[in-house]
Amino acid sequence: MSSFKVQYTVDGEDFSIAGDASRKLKKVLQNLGVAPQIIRKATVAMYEGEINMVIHADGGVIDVEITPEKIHIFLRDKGPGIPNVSLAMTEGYSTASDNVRELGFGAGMGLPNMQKYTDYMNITTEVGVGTTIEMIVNTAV
Amino acid sequence: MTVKELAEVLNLEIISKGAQFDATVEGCFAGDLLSLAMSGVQSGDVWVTVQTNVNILGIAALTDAACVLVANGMNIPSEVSAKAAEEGICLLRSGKGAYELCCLIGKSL
Ligand SMILES: Nc1ncnc2c1ncn2[C@@H]1O[C@H](COP(=O)(O)OP(=O)(O)OP(=O)(O)O)[C@@H](O)[C@H]1O
Ligand SMILES: [Mg+2]
Repeated sequence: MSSFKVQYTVDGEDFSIAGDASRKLKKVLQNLGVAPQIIRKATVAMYEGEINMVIHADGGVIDVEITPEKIHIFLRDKGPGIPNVSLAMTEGYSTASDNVRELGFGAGMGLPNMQKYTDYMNITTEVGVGTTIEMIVNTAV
Repeated sequence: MTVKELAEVLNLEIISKGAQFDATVEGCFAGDLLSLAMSGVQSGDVWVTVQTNVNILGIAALTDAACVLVANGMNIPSEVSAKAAEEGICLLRSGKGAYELCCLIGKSL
């Protein structure tokens, strides 16, 4: 298997399709024969990032590169940015609105989950400009 | 015990059988906060929740849950039932609360 690239556009308006990119990635990884526990890590991390793009940043673009060694995910949005990254990374911290909380979001566990399920994660963000999150999941067990 | 057997024993309402109806139930997770469920639901689990919005299907799919069991007879929007069927997610419902369901599941497994 050489390198394999996919791109997903995340709609910031439509809650009913939020998570679809992660589900599509799961199918791609299954077809490539990636181990189930690696698929779980990568898709859970991507799902949290994808949902954050919908509820906090009005959508964005996700690029995934899959090589024999790793799954490399870039989440890019032009949302409000994150003023205090270490605060945002704290378990339980959330600025989610009441109507989003009613849907079960807003536990403040998304970013901590992304950290937990990936082997590398880096957040680049600027208030008023947007946020880019890079994540790597190693595929070697 | 399979999902089907569990549904019979607990007298659960079957909203969508999905692809996992004959799969073995491995365990159970209860909770309504989606990102907790995302990290807590393990492959083969029954996920007991009162959430019924479409996002429960994404979580069930990504965690490989055996089924989603909606507690307290919560109303399930028709588009969620339809999407569950379309995506092959097993969606069940009971009028009982999460505690009672978990106790019964615990005894059954
Ligand atoms: N892409 C983003 N753009 C702007 N702000 C973000 C973005 N992602 C996260 N944040 C900020 O970081 C906070 C914490 O994010 P995290 O995903 O951990 O929790 P949450 O989305 O609020 O709740 P949960 O993910 O548990 O449903 C958010 O409430 C939000 O303020
Ligand atoms: Mg989040």
